[in-house]
Amino acid sequence: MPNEDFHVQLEQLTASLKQAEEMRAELDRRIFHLKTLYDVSKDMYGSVEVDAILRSFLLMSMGNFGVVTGFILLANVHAAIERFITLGIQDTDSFSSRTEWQKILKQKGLYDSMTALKDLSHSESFLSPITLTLPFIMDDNTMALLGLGAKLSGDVYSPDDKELLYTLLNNLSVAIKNARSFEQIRRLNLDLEAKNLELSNALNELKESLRKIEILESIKANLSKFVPTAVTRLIEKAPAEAFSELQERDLSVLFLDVGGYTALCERLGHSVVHDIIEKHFSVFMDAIYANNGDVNETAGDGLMVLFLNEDQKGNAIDAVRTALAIRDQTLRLKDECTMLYRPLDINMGINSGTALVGAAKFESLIGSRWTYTARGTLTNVAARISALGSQGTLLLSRTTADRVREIFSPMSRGMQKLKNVSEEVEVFELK
Amino acid sequence: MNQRPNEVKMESRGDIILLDIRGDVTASSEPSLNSAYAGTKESSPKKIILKFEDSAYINSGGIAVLIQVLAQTRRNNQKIGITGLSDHFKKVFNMVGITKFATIYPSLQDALSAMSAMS
Repeated sequence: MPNEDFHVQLEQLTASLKQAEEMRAELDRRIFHLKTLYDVSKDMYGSVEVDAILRSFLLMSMGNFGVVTGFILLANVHAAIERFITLGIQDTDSFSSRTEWQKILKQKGLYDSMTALKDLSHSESFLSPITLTLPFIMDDNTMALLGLGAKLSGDVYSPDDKELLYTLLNNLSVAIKNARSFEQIRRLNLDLEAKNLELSNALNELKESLRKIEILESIKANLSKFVPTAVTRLIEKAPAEAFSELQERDLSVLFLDVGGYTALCERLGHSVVHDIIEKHFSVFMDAIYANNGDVNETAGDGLMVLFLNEDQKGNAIDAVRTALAIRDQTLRLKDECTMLYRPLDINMGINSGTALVGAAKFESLIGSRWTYTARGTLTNVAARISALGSQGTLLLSRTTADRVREIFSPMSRGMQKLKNVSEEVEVFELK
Repeated sequence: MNQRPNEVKMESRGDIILLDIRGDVTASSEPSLNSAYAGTKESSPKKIILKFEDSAYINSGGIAVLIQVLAQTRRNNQKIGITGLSDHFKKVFNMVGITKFATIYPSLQDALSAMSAMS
């Protein structure tokens, strides 16, 4: 009896030990699966490349179950295969497999294919190395299909195995979504960088253009000191056009001359006289510009100013007003120039009428030079009338006097003989 | 846990090629293991020993990579011995069926002795 009891107890103990070993093996398996779940998550979330994620996922899944062959494909709503990664499948099988999958997806559409997949026999030629196919909807646009071959252990896939694989596929879905978002952000960043570059180039071009404009403005400002306003206006109006030829038009010409200039130089010296003249002429400019005059020539102690108002009376009145303002300013400036014991004698003559006005070109061997001027008897007479003056007189030709008579009261100084002018002309004085 | 990169050294021991695998074996080991196996092809060995570090961590990705290498050795009719595994990984290799492709030995010496005796 004791022997029988002993045998029974031994059998029970042996059975318990076997059970314990089986439980231990099951525990090891579950721990390994949990580790796989952890590693899959860690690996997949550590990458942002879709292909790398899919390959890592496939390797982990196959390693977890001890499988030689496997594949994973991603297809879009149009049933087009976007990615197809295989392991342990020969290239020819892989090609055939992809083609077959594409055919099924195209024939049945993405979602109906999933039902069809469940009915597929694993003995079908293109599936032969694969014994488990798991379709999985990743998102509204993408389906995944995981295919695994038989386990090396010879065990069949249990419901627990499939549950684990679906959990892994869920993780895969999130990882792919993240990777795609990252890809999108990266693409947007690249676009942004490209746009920034374009913008930066455009800004640089703009800065360069602005710099050129500033240089041109500076040149223009400097040149305008030497260029008559009429020329500046002509260029601004039509920068690319050639200057028009001299044209006959109506205008008034004011000639201005500093009386006793030579004697003044001898008395005060050229430098002092230069300062005095510059001071006076600077003030005269304000008066000239205020009355639409345009300084055409300067020559030491003289100025030739054109008044081109299209209205005949208008240009004469502008010229006279300028002359009167110059006379007033000359009196005022006397107090500022202490070395002068009396105001400068600014003798002025004005003539009105028609003359040739415009750009004149002088051709020479080394090039051409342009000048803007008024030519004709009109300007000569104005110069001669001015030369008749003394002690700051303002003399007008008859034409000018007639044009301004409604506003001013010029007094005739009778017929005067002008140098190099054949006929005597009547000259008027405005006091 | 930071993964230790792989370093695989190849040695000849008689008619056996020893692949000494340092570092953890994961999915990232695919290039180094494939390259190491490709390196053995020159001498067309009939016997190969894969030696792992005792402290090596081998995950399911690494196991899949090993299975791919072992599948090639089977196609090439090569005998494979594995050594250096901790008890835990011996169980894991057994569980996933690697032992159908290769024999696990308790030590390198055991592996060399046993495999040298093989024809």
